[in-house]
Amino acid sequence: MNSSMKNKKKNSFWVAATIILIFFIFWELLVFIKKTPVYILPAPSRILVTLYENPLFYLQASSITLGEAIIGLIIGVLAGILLASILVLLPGLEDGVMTLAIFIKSTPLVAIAPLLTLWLGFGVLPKILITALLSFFPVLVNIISGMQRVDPALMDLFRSWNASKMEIFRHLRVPSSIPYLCTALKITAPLSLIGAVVAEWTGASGGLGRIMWLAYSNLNLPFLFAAIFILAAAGMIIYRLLSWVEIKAVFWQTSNFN
Amino acid sequence: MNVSIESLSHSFFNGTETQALSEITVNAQPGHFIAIIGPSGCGKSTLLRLMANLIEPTNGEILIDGISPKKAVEQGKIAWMSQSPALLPWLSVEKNLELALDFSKRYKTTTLGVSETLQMVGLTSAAQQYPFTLSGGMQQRLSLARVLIQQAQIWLMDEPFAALDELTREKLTSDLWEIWKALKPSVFWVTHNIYEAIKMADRILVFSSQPGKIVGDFDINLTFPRQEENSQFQFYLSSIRQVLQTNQRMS
Repeated sequence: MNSSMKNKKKNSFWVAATIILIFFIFWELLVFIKKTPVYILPAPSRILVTLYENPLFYLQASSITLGEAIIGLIIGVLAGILLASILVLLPGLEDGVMTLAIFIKSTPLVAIAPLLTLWLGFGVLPKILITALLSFFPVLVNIISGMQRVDPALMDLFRSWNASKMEIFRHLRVPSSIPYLCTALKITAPLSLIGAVVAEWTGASGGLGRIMWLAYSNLNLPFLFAAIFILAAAGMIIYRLLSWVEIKAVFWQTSNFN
Repeated sequence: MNVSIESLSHSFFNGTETQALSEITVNAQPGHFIAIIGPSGCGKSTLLRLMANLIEPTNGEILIDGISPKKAVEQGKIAWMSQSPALLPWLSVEKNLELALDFSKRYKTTTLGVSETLQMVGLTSAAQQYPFTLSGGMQQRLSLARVLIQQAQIWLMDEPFAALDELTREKLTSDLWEIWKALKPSVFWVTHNIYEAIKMADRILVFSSQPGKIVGDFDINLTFPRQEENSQFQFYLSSIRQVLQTNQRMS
């Protein structure tokens, strides 16, 4: 990376940090001037104090929710990649399986979540399942697109080499789908956090979703907002991490040469 | 390698039928450099795609040393090069070439190695680079190297240098000619450039506009290097132009 690129990145970081800071200052002033009650809208300073005073409590809850989200995400992504590969290799199955996949996707998970909790209990399993279901569809659709939309000139080349279906899949379709996988991951990773939290609302023995639900029931808004802050920060970090992975994995599209 | 094309016709069906080629008959001797020229959409590329078994003809037959294009492709007798360099962007220059070599090794014992081939096309210093770091001319050199390493007897080249600037195109065309002279494969080369065709080819096939038919077949009997100032060169140039213009008026 050259120095002008580095400077640009540094600048964009400071711009983002300044915008966030202005937002919080504005929020703090608004609560102070309007004398808003804490059960309606707590000031950011009050939320940060809550986090500071209960670090282990939030750490434990975060590890449960993030664990559910990450395991669910991994399962959903792997299942999406596997099914997409099968459908690309056996295109005759695509219509039938995609109809079923769209049916599952169209069913509101908020409605399924309580049922899964009823069937599978208050443990982490229904949360992981919900998160996996949320992650699965975007990955499936994106990977199928990536594997099918290969460069026609490259397809001609492989056919002129008399490459088999599996060779085309390995050498051409799989690498062509990597940019699409990265896009899908950037969509599904924040979704997986939402999935885990929503699933926890329907009944859980721990996690940020449970804290939010209990805090809301008791109108303890600083506790509720503290959980929201953690989720927002986690979502941002995961997104940034995936953007970095994308730059490394899809270097031929993200390079400075392009 | 003999190529025999007999009464070849091809139509595309896309709601309505569009005839791309009509009654093409060509016999080509081994080691010939045949240029195919004609107006856009006249079926030049379609002919090459049929020969490479990328599509199947509606009517007629192509035989490559007595076997079908499908069998010729299966036996690694055909190398394909298109206008797009068609490089795998996630592989380095060297790896792109290694992949082509791996495929061609399935059919025959190849005598050319990766580094030797890169040297032939002047890309030795770029071996570890990725295609997106190369200029358009270098990308087409790599594409040409891929054709070379296959050591196929027939090279099907569909306007391979058309997207390049004039100077790069001239250089690559002359390099291609040098390589062809040394290896003597049968080349079928689609181009829009009549000058280049006369400079390079033993034989020029002129196609009519759609549906493509052969309206001119010129054996170019000129010694190398061919100079544009040469009266015979000018004769071929005006004859081919005349055929193209007459055909354009008629269509």
